[in-house]
Amino acid sequence: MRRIPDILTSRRTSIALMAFVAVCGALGAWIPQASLSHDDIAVTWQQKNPLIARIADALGLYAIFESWWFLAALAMFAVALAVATGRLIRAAWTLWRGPGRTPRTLLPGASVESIEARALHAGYRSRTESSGRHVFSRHRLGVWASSVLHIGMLLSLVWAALLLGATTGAIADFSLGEVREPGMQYYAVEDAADPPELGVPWRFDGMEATTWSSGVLKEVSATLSFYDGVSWVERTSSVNHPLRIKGHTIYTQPGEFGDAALLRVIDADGAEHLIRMDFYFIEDGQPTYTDAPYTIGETSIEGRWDPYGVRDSKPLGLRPAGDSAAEPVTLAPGDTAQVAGLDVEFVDTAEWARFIVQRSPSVLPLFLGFAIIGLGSLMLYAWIPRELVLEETDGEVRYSWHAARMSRAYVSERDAILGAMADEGEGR
Amino acid sequence: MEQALVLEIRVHVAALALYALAAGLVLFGATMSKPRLTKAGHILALIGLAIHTVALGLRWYGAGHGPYLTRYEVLSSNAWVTMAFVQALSLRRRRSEGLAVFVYPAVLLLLGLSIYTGPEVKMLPLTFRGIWLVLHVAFYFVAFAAAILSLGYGVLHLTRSTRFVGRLTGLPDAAALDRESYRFAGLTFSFWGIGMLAGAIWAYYSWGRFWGWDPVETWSLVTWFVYGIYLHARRFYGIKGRKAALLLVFGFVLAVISLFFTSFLTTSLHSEYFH
Repeated sequence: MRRIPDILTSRRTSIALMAFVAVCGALGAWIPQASLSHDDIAVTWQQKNPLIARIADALGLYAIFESWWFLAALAMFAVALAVATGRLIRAAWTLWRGPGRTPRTLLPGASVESIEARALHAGYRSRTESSGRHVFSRHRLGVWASSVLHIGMLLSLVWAALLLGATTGAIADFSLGEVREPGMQYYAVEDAADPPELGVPWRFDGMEATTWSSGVLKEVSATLSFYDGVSWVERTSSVNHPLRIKGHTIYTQPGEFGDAALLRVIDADGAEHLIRMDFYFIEDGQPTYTDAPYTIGETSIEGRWDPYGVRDSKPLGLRPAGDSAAEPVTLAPGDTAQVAGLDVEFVDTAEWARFIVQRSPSVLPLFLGFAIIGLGSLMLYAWIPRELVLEETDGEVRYSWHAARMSRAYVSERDAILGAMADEGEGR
Repeated sequence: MEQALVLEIRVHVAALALYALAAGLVLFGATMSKPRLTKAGHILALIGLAIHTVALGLRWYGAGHGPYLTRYEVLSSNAWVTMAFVQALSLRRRRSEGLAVFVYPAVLLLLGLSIYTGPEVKMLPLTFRGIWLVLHVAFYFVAFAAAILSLGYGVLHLTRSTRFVGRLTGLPDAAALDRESYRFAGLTFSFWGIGMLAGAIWAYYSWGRFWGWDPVETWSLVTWFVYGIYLHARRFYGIKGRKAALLLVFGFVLAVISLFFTSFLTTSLHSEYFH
């Protein structure tokens, strides 16, 4: 029974799991994943690779990263990593506290004083000195490098899993000045049973966008206000600088904002519909179009927004959806018109914006894990610990020298400290 | 600004010409045992690097952002970092000199490809900004340069017994080549990992998630794992020499796919990069 945990936590299993995750990752990057790709991309891929598509379908390779076996492999990897980290910490602690390796190699005619002087000159530090034994070390902290790296990986992996499991998101849609009260419906939500909720009213107070000379967006930031029970407190959420508030993060999305036309529409049955027709932000001097038709009853219309008068002095153009031959009916605020059998009144203009709202635990432990990985990686490379132990007994000097990693690269350093005596002594 | 860009292309071509001369001289000098020619090649490479620095500076000024968006910028920056790396190394350790016969032609290839792809300027997309993106890209540049050096030592180790490589002067012995490829693979692993993590932080601030199994992210992780497997295999299972070098070549191929091909997948959020 003891054998199974040993196998599961062995170094060999860790490497095999790394290889397995790598192969799954390569497959997942090649085969369009259902959660990442649009349907048309998947269909095109399946048409191009019919045989592989059938195999992928049979094996469930369109959702590798959500599959139980992939998640189980990651979990096993986390366990193996935890065990490996424990072993590394124990080994590093033993080295850290230990008395140094036993000197076995004889150095004929050597004196401890001269070797000590050369060792100190080479950057070694004297560690302990007892009963004729002298221990010198360089980059001693480096014995912890692997442990630090693995602690960082373990912390990152565990916290990443926690974040992925505990994060829930939604998209909040606003018109300028609109207040979102707690419990109101979102535009879209990841988990309808457990949507994120700030618990206070909040309001969209405006969007500021600057562009490069070419018209491409340069900076976008939204002004949001939150009611703290007494007054409205203004905060900013920008692209690349989300707003963290009350355990939630609010992301401003590039391109997810613009002008809108507020319409009152009476359909053929006489029913009234209030519509906000959204137009995505476009650079100065250009008209823009609705990205999808608006359906009222059984009739669909589409719109053009031309605030700079490129096509018409009246900013809003409406026509039946899909009828590219039809000349749009143009309207200014306050105008009414008949479009595809609908009575339409252009009530007013507005601004709109959509924000991603996420409720998640703090991301800082994850980033701390990243920092620890970075530190461990650099320690692993830059701080290679070396240890020199000298022992003087009965007028003879013996030594042991050890580099924790890449020892052959430091043989010249060892020889410079011990001189030609090392070569003479090595054979004994 | 436009004038800066016109000048920048000419300066880039000048750097390319110098690198070509340097590569030719170093190869010729090393194969014909003419140390003077090799030395002249190194000096030309150093001058080329200085000129290349000016070209990238002009590009930065002209484009209004760091040289890390288009193929032209990315390949040129990769070439610059690799050349700077090998020059810095040769200042510290003479034993890296033999590596120039591999690295100079590699840098020449990178810069040549860069110029071939065309110097069109693209505005930086809104989310492609911030200090974490700069760190993300910078660490990947260093990681790729280390990967080239590591590959160089690995390939020289693999081909040491061939007639051409065997007659090169200034080349370390087989054990040293193997050791150096290990050392630089370690550096690749470190910087690749840090670059990937900096990218995760950037993604968190810009896209609202730190990891999304995006093809570029996934390939990057795969590459990191393969370098990790290589390091573990060497450290704990004593794999070295030819087998280790072949594994390293495989890792490098993955690195190239990860950096230069996966962004062409339309499902990638990175699809603005390297186009």
